[in-house]
Amino acid sequence: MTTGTTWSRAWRERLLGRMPGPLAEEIDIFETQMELRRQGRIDEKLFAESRLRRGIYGQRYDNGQRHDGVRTQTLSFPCGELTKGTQTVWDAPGMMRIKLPLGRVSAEQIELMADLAEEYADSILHVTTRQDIQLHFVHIEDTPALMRRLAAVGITTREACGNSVRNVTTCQFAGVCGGAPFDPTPYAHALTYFLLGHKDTQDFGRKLKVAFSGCRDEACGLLNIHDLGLLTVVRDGRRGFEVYVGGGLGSVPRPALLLTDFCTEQELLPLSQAICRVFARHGEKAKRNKARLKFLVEKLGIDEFRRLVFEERAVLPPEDRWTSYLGDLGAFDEAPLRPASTLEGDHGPVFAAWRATNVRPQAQPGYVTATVRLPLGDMTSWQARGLADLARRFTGDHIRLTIEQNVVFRWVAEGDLPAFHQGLEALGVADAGAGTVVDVVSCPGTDTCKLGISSSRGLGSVLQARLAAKADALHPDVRKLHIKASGCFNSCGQHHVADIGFLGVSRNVGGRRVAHFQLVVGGEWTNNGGAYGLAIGAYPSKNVPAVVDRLTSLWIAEREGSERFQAFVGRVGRARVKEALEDLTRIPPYHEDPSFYTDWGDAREYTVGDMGVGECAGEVVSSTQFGLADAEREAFQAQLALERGDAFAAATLSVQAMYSAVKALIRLQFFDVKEDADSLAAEFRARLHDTGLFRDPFMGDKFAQFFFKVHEEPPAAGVARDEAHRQIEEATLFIEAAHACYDRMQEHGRAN
Amino acid sequence: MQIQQTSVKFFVEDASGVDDAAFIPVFHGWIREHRLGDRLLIDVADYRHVHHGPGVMLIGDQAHYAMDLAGGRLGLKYDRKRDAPGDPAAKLEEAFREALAAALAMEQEPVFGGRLRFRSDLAHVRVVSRLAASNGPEAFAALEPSLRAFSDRLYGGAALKPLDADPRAPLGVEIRALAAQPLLTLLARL
Ligand code: SF4
Repeated sequence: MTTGTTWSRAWRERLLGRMPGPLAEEIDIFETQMELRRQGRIDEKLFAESRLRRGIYGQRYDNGQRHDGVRTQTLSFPCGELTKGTQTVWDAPGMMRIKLPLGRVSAEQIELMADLAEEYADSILHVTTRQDIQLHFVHIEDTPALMRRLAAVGITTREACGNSVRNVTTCQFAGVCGGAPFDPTPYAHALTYFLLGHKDTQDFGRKLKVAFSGCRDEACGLLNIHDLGLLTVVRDGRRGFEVYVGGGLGSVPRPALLLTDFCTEQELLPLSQAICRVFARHGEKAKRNKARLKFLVEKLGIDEFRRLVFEERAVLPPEDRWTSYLGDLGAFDEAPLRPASTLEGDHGPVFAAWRATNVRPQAQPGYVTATVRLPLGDMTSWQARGLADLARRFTGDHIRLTIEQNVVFRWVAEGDLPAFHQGLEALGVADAGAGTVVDVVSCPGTDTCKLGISSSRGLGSVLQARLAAKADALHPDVRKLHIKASGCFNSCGQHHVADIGFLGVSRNVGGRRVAHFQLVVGGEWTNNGGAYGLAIGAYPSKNVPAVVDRLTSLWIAEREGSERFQAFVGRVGRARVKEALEDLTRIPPYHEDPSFYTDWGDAREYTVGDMGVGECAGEVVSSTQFGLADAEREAFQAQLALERGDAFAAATLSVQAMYSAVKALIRLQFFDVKEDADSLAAEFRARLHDTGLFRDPFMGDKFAQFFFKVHEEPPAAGVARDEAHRQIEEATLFIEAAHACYDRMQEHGRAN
Repeated sequence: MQIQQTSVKFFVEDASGVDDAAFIPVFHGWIREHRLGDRLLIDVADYRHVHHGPGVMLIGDQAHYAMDLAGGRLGLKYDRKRDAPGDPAAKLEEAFREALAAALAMEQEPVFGGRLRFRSDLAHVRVVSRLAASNGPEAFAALEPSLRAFSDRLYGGAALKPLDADPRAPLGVEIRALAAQPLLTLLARL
C-alpha cells in the first residue's frame, strides 16, 4: 500500500459521516480507478480524463523530462513506467484545481485549503482567473485524501477540469453593488449545481465556461468571453436574463453572440440544459482544437444554433429542479455581522491610499466591500488563516475570490475599515491598487503550465514591483489601466480584454531562443470584455517593462484631452505605436548581454538544446527570419488596413502574410520554390504538413488548416470587417506557428 | 506517538545583504548537478513576491527545500512531503540530516563567498501532517520526550518551546541549543 493510500484511508475513516454520501462515494470510485491504473487495468487516456474531471491536472515536466539550462535531463521518478495520462508520469507533481462556484468561500473552507496547501503542496493557495483556487506540486496519491477533506467542508472538485462545465463565475460585487437589476447569486448557484454531473453535460468535446453578470457596462462577469454568458435584466417587472453564447478567448478568440434577449428565470435552467445538449450532440469531438462551443456556433450560424436550442428545449423532459430553487431565492441573502457605521476622521495616508483603490461603497448604507490584493493571486497558508480570522471578526463568511485573482470581503461596516486594514497589514496583504495598473493579472505560464512559452508570472511580478514603486508618480489615468499576461496563446491570463495585454511567444535570435511577449492593444475590460485587442508585435521579455513605460508615456503625451487608452490607439493607429516601440524589439548579442537569453525569475538559459551557430546555419537563419519578418510586417499592414476601414485589403494582406511565412519555411529546404499560390500550397503540404513538421505539439493541424482554408477560398471583395479581423488573427497565429516550426526544423536538422 | 511529514528550518545568521534572487540559480544548479545526491529534485519556484512566504523553493519528489521567509526570518527549510507515519526518533533524524546537508551545501555555494551562514543553535521543527498531530499542549507533550532525547543527542542539550498557540497551525517546536556547534559536527552525529 502506498503512503498516499494509507493516509487517504485514514482520512476516510476520520471523516466518515462528515462527507456528503454521493461525494464520498465518488471519491471512493476515483480511488479505485487509481488502483486499477496502477495495475495497468485502465487505459492511460481514460484515466487522464477521469482525473481531469476531478480537478487533477498535469503540470510542467510531468513527462519526466526537464531542460536544466544546459541539457535535457530525465527526472527519474520512482514509479518507473507508470503513467497517469499520455506522456504523464505517475509520480510527477501536478496541480489540483479546487472549484469554488461564484468564487464564494467560507472561513472554514479557506482554513482547510491552507492545511492542504501545507501538507500536499507548496504552502501557497493560488487564486485563478476563474475564481478557483489551485494547489501546485501535488502528488496524485495525495488527491483522494485531499478531496475527502474538501468534501467534509462542502467542496467538490468534480468537473473542475476536463471536458465539462467549468467553474461558474459571477461578479464578486453581485448583490451589493447596487448597479444590477437583481442579484444573480442564487441563479448562478442553482445553475452550477443543476449542471454539475448532469447527464447532459457529460459528453462534451471540450469544456464549457459559464458566467453571470449583473451589469452590462462593467467588467463584472466578462460575459463576452464565455461559452454561456447570462446578464440580469428585468422586463415588465419580471426577472430574466439576456443569454449570450459562443464567446471565448484562446488561440481563436470570438465574442459571444446574443442567443435571446430575454430568458425568464423559470427558463434559465432548461434553456441552459438545451444549450448543453446541442453542444454535446453537435459539437466537434474528434478535433480538439475545433471543439469549443464557439466553433459550433460559428459553423451553424447563430440563427441555426438558436433554432436547434429552442427545438431541444421544447422536447426536454421536465425536471423539478428547473424551478424548485425559485421558492427559496432568499437563501443566499447575506446578513452582516456588524452594525452599519460610518467612518470619520483622518486615518493616515497609507490607509487613505488603500481605501481609495480597494474599497467600494455597497448599495446598503454603512457597508463597503474591501478588496485584498494578492500578488499574482498567491497567498500563503498563514495568510489564508489570517483572512479567515478577519472574516469571522468583521464580516461572517462573506468572502469571494475574483477573476482578477484577489479576495473581496463584503459587508465590512465602514467604521471598521481602519481596524480591518490593520488586520491586513499584519498579514502583509494591505497593498493599495486593487484593479489598477499595479494589479497585474497573470496565468501560471512557464512556472507550472505545460503549455507555457514565456514566464507570464515572472513578467507579472516584475511589472507589479516596478509599477508599485513609482505608483505615486504615475499619471492618474495610467493607474487605471489593466495589464494582463498569458504565457501562451491559450489566453488564460485574459490578455485580449486588458488595456495592455501580453502573450508569451519565443523567437530565434542568432541561433538561440529568446522569450518574447506579443503586445496586445485595443482590448476593453469594461462592457463585460467588450472588445478584443490585437497583437501589435513581439518584444523581448526583458524589454517589456520598458514597453509599458514607453507606451503609457506616449498615450499621456499625445492623447487628445482625456482620451482613453483604447480610443487613443484607435486614433493614432498601430503604426504610430509600433514605431514608438521599434527600438525595443532589438536584442543585444548574447556575448554582450546574456540576460536577454533567460526569462524572468529563471536562471536557465531560455534556449533549448545546444544549437550550432555556424556561419552556414547563420545564413539560413537570416534568410528565413527575414521571410518571417516580412510575414509579420504584412500582418501588421493588414491591421492598418482594417483600421482604415478597408476590410478587403486587410484580409488580402493577412493571407499574403501567410504565404510569405510559407515561402520562408519552404526555402529552408527548397530555395528555388515557385512563388505562385498553388505551388507554395503544394510544397507546403508535401514538405511541411504531410511530414508533420508544421504540426503543433498541442494544437495539431489547426494552424496549417488556417492556411489551406484561405488557399482554397481567398477573401472576396465585400468581405465583412469581422471576417477580416478573424483573418488577421489567424494569420498572426499561423506566423507564430511558422516560427515554432522553424525552431523545430533547426533543432532536428531538417533545414536543407 | 507516530509522526509524519516533518519540517525543519535553520535560520540565516545575518540576512542583511543577502540577495534572495541568488537562490534561484543556486537551486537550478543543484538540480542540474544533483547536488543533493540521489534526492530527486524537480524544479524551482519563485515566491519572493509573497509577503513572508516560502521565498525561493526547490521542489522535490520526497521533499521540498526553501529559502523560506516565514515570519520575516530567512532560513533554509526542509519540508518532507509524502511520508508514512513512523517513530518520531527516526523521522526527526531523517529531517535534520536532510536539512543540515542542504544548509551546508548552501553555505558552500561560491556565490555567497562564505558570508552566508546558518545558526546552528536554533531550529524550528514542525509536524505538518494533521493526521499525526493537531497543534496544542497535548500533542506537544506527546512529542516532547522524543524531541528532547533527539535534541540531547544532537546538541548535547536544548530548550524546547511550542511555536504557535494557534491550533490550526501545524504542531511546531522551537529548539534552542545550549551551545552553537558547527553544522558539520551536528551532521556527523546523525
Ligand atoms: S495561457 Fe498558456 S501558459 Fe498560461 S495557463 Fe493557459 S495554457 Fe498555460
